[in-house]
Amino acid sequence: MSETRFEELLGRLLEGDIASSEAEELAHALELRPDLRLNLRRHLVLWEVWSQAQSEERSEEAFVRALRLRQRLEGEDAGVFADEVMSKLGAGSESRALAPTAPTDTFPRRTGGFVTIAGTFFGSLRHRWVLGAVTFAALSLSMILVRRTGYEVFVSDEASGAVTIIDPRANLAVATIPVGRRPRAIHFSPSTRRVYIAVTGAPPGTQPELDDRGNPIFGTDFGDSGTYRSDDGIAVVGVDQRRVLHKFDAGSDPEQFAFSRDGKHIILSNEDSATARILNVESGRIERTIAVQGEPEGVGTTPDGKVVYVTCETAGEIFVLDAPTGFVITHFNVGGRPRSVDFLPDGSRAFIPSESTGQMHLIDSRTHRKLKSVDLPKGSRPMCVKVDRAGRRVYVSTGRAGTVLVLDARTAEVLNSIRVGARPWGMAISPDDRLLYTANGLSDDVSVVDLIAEKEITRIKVGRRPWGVAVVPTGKCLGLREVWPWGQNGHANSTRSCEQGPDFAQMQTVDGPGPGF
Amino acid sequence: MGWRHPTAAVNSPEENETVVIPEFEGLVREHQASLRAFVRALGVDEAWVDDVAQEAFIVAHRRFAEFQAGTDFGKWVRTIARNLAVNERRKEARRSRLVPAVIADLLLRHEDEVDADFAGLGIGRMITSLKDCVGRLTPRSQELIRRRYTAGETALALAREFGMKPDALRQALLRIRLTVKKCIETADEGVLP
Repeated sequence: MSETRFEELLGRLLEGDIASSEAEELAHALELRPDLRLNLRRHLVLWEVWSQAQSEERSEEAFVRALRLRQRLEGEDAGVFADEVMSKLGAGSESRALAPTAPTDTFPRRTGGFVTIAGTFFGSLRHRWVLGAVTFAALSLSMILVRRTGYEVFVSDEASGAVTIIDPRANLAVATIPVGRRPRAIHFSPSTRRVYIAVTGAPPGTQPELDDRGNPIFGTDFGDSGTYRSDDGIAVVGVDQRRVLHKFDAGSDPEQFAFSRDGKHIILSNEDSATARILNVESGRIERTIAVQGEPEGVGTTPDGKVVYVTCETAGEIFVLDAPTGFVITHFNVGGRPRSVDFLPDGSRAFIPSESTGQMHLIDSRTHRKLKSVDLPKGSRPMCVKVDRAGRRVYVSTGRAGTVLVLDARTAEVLNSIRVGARPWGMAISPDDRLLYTANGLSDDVSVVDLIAEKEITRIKVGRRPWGVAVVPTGKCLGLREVWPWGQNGHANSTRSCEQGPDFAQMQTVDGPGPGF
Repeated sequence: MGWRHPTAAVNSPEENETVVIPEFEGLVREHQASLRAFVRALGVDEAWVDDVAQEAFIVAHRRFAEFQAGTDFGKWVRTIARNLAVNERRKEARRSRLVPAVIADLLLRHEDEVDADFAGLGIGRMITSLKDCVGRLTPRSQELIRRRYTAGETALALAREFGMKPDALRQALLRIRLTVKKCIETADEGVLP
């Protein structure tokens, strides 16, 4: 192999976009040539060391802190849960013996879900039959706890191809549902009691083939690079069935979406084709395709359901659509790769973060004009924005800065910064506005943030590369009146009967990264 | 609370005299940088290096009783990391936390070469040389390196940002990497593994 060819393949490998045939070719050369192996290792090591030295989130302190936190949280969570389970079983005095007694004795293995945690803290049991019985009881109990909490947290795990379900009372992952390749945006529809997830055939870390102008080529499957166009769509998960019921075709590479007020339509962004689409969730048909601009991503609907904002990354343009028809009302520019949008409860203001400029834009969402832009703390790469139901606070995940920023909803000025896991993207707020959940893409966990104390209180291990979060009510309509903690339009407490069902518009604020409505 | 391993007195098998096992956190701090570099050299994807290294320390802590005091902790934890990478390769049919399987297999097969490299790796010296050599690059090249390795942006995203074709940007990054590597090899022979 010539030096030029080796360097070409090396460059592709280091950028993570080497084709399988090229990897074979490179491996063959490496097998024969120890000097090339040394060369490759040097490149790998050099830039790994450089990244450690230059990136704050990869510093020694950050590494040690993450390691310590991982052990502490997993140990405590397991212990608390073990106590809870055993006290419910009437074996309170024995429960402590089952929990990890001290981190000096146990360093629990990484938790991928409840079963792993159970395996960890039950690991010291000597009798297998006891393990089986208690695990069964604990699983049953965990389901009871979920029902009592009133909601569950669904998390899309981009690299696992699955959705993890979290019990927010025990702060544990209790179930995993395979949903298809690369799940990202995730939203709950109360009208159907289903969770909708945008999935795409392009696995994480790979890019589709590019044409001569550097644009992705679509229309065929990319078997060679592991990208499968036919896997794109909106997967529909039955909340009660705990499985994928079907999948809608939704155009190429759907990323984010939002529901219409009546829950019958999804408005989604197709990043690669610079379009938005309106999907009828009853017929499964695309009813309208709307040309916007490059890399549309965030989609959000005003609380009255009349207007949809679509944020386009490339030029920083925001398209304002009439919700029922998809007609483009107007568009305006904010620049800096806007990734998401959310609105005040009264619909008077919109908040749009720009990732590359690290800004938050305050928009008059009645005239569709930018009122001001606020610089966020240095290093912020704002992704997902959520307004609380009271309309007092705005929360923004900052990606690689590893924080959630708290903003004053009146001024968009930053009030506080809360450290969470690595690269938080999607967020959801609990029905009572007390807890915020963030999907931390690089630490494979979900941070639980106390919004009263404005502090992270725990992290929950989920699947690989969590992306989006949705809060899903657990109540089934059995003809009884029950309290939905979400209020009318999501901003004031109310009770609704099961016959009425929860108010749809307010539910739209609880979902994954960016849009919500 | 926390995960500092208790200071414990044990008998050294060689000298049959009491030695003190260093606190675990001290060991983590001492070895984390070189372990992460080792993990990367085994073919773990750059986004997952810290994850795998943390798991190696977690396993090391859990099995700390098996570690022989007075022996090389770095070598021991590298063995653990290597086993984790092998497990990763076994359990995943598709690409996951590793570089493409055929390359990962090769790097793992020649892991003995890698381990020898890391026996006396001087991370501090390498960083000094890196800073010096990167500092000699043009401002635009330095910005590319910063965005790629400090901010962790992908080549495709950078291509969009810099108004370049992805292939052209990849070429630019490759040229920068080659320049820096050559600079280090010339300026300080022996600093690289």
